[in-house]
Amino acid sequence: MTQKIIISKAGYNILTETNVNNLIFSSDYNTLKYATTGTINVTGNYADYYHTVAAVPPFFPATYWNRAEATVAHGLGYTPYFSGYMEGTAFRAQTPIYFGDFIYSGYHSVYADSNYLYFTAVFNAEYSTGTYSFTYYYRIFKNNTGL
Amino acid sequence: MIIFYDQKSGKIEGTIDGRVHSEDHLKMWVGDKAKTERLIVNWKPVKDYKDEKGNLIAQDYEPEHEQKELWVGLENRKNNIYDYKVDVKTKLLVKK
Repeated sequence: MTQKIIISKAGYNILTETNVNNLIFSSDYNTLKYATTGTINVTGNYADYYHTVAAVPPFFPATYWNRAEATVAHGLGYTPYFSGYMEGTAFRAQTPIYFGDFIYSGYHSVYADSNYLYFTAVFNAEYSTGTYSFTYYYRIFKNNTGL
Repeated sequence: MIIFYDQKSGKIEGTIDGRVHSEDHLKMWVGDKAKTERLIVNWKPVKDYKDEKGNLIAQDYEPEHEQKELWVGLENRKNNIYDYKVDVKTKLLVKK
C-alpha cells in the first residue's frame, strides 16, 4: 500500500477525495521549498546615463535614461523557481514592475539562469549627476523549473 | 545573516537572511564578487531548556556578534540594513 499524507478541507473525506481543490495538502503533489531569502541593492551614477531627451520648455525638462543591474549568484546549477520584489516608499511590489506618466517612466525586473538572479532597473530621471539606489527582496526556492 | 559590502567604502550591497548558514548559502554571492566582501553572522545557542528527564526541548539563540541587539533588529526588520554601512576595519555596522 502506498503511504501518503493528505489534509483535506473541512467536509471532505481524505480517504475518498480526489479533487485537489478540496485538499489543503497532498504528498502526491510537489510543493515549493524555500532555499534562500535576502535583499540586494542596485545602484548607479546618474552621470552614466545611456540616452537623453532634450528639454521642451515650458513643460518638459531634459530627462536622462539609466540602466543598472546587479546579481545574486545562487549556485544551484539550474534555473530555480524564484520571485523578486521591489521596495517602494510604503509598499513592496512583485516584479516585473512598470510605471510611467507623461515625463517619467521606469521598469524593474528580475530574471534568472542556472547561475544568477539578475535585478535590472531601467528608468529616466531629471538628473545627470549624483547616485541612485533601488532595493529589491528575493526569494529563491529549491525547485528546479526544468527550463 | 550574511551581509555583502563594498570592499573599500563599506556600503552594503545585499544580504542573505537566516540564523545558521548552510553550504548552500556560503557558495552564494550577492553583488560583484570582485568588489565586495561578506560578513557572516551566525546565531549560537546560549540557553538550553530541558524537560524533567533532562532531554533538550528548546534553546535560546543570539547573534554571534558584539552588536547583538542591532542584529536582532535586522532580523525582525525593526532596523533597515541599508541605513548602515560596514566599517571595513572593525567589521562593525555603523549608521550612515
